Formats: sequence, C-alpha cells, structure tokens
Amino acid sequence: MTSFLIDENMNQKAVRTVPTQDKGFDVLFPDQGGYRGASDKAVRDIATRDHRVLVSVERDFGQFGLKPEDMPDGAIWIRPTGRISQPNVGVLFEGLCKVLVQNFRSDPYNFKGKILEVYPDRVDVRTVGGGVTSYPVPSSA
Amino acid sequence: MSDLLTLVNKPAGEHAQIQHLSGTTLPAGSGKAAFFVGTGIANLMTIPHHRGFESRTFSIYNLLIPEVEPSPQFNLYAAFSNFGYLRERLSHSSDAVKSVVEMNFNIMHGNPVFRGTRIPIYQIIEELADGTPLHELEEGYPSLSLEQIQRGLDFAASVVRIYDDQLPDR
Repeated sequence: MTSFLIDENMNQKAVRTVPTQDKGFDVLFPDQGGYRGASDKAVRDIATRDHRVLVSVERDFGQFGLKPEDMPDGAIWIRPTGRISQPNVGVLFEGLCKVLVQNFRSDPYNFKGKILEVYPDRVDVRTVGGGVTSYPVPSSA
Repeated sequence: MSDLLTLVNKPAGEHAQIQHLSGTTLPAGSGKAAFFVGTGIANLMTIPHHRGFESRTFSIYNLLIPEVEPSPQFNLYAAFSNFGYLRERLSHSSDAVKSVVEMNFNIMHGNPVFRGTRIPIYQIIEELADGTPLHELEEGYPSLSLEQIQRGLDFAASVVRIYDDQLPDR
C-alpha cells in the first residue's frame, strides 16, 4: 500500500474528501504523525524514516531546487495554477489519485527517487537524472 | 513613527526609489547585535522594483543567523525574497500578533506562519480569496483557531498599510 505523509499546509478537509483508502492509499496527518509545526527538514526526515511519500503544497520546495535524489522515498508537490485553496487542492489531490490508480493499479507505484508535480491537467514525474514523464489527469477514475 | 523605514516610489515608469533608514534595530532572535544606520541616507536605485532594498536587508540578517542551512539555492532565493522586510514588520507588530505569527528560516523556508504550525499566512488569505468560509478553514486546518486566523490576518493587513501609526499597537 502506498503511504502518504500529508504536510500540515495541506487543507485536510480537501484531502479527506478523496476516498484514499478505497484507492489503496494510506494517509498520515500531522496530528497522527506528531509533526505539527515541525521544521522543513524534520518533516522530510519523518517521511524518509517512515517510508512515506511527502505530499505538500509548499511552493518553495520547488524553488529551492530539491531534486529527486533529495527525497529517497519520493515527494509530491501539489501545484495549483491559481490560489492554494480547499477546492483547488481537493481537485488536484483527487487528480493525483486518479493518475496513480489508472496508470499503476496493477503495478504498485514505486516513488523512490521521484518527485511528482501535480497540475490541474497532468502529473509530471521527475526522476533522478532529470527525466520527466507526464501523465494526463483522466476525467474519471 | 514606529516604523523606521520609509520607501518613496516615483510614479511607475521612472523606476526610482529613495530609501531612508534611521535608528534601525534588528528584531530579537535574529542576532545578538544591533546596528545603527544614520539618518539621511538616500539611495537612488535604477531597479524598477523594491527588491534591491530587500536584498540589502537580507544580507544583514543572513550574516547574523548562522543556523540557516547553507545552500546556494536557498541563499539565492532568500536574497530576492521579502524575508527581511516582513521580519521587520513583524518585530513592530503588537504582542497579540507576535504571539500567533512566527518567521523561521527552517519552517516553510521563512514564510510567516501561524506559530507552532507549518501553515503560511498567505495560504489562509488565498483560501479566503477563493471563497472558503472561516468555519471550513478550521476544519481544513485543525491546528488553527478562529482567533489565530484573525491575528494572522491582522499581520497581513499591517503590511499593506503605508503607515504603521495609522493603527498603533493594539
């Protein structure tokens, strides 16, 4: 089962509206994981320690040039093209789950060494070495 | 006037700014030293934005904050960020605001966040701008209370006023 670690900056109501367990994803929230108010590095370390994929809407991770090799268990940046808000984050998180289910249902997804950037219309998967593969977001799961 | 910084912008297109600093003291926690810049410093810049000033301000903070993780990408980003300006504004905010807002380079890369959380204040503003009701914000961000959100918005409001003394410390 793919395990996500939801950053505290994610709107939790938006995440909870997506039936993640039905899709085979285990989701950890800050209060459950004890990383409320933790530093950026601490959150990354907890994700690595627990082999979870960090899911964040933080815009600056990308700007700071974190590379796939910096996130051994992978990371997902939710990137609304407009405002970071409950509806926008919810749509993008649902789109991410659809892409994963549609493209990797029979082959459990391996996030190691990958950073996924989630846009309204696609999910870009960046791998060590600079490769990028784009998956369009399906209209239905 | 509590704010020690005044920026005067010429109309758009002229690309000139005058900055005037006087008696500036670094906020507590950013270093053990204080510095004084004499009055009357005026600087004509040709940069069509205020980022030139921010860059100078940050360089002082950067020297006094050794705990910042060294990273070429980080320094480049921070040098062109609003960190110094916002930290200065926060240092002049009321105790009520400072009790719920913090800026820490190691949390959300220094963006102002609600104290004890990783939730940036700008994000709550974007939520409100997109129509998320206040009571739903408390559901979406269980770390926050309504009062914390309001204090955070007070700080946000303070940085879009041109004079601090329009709304003195509350």
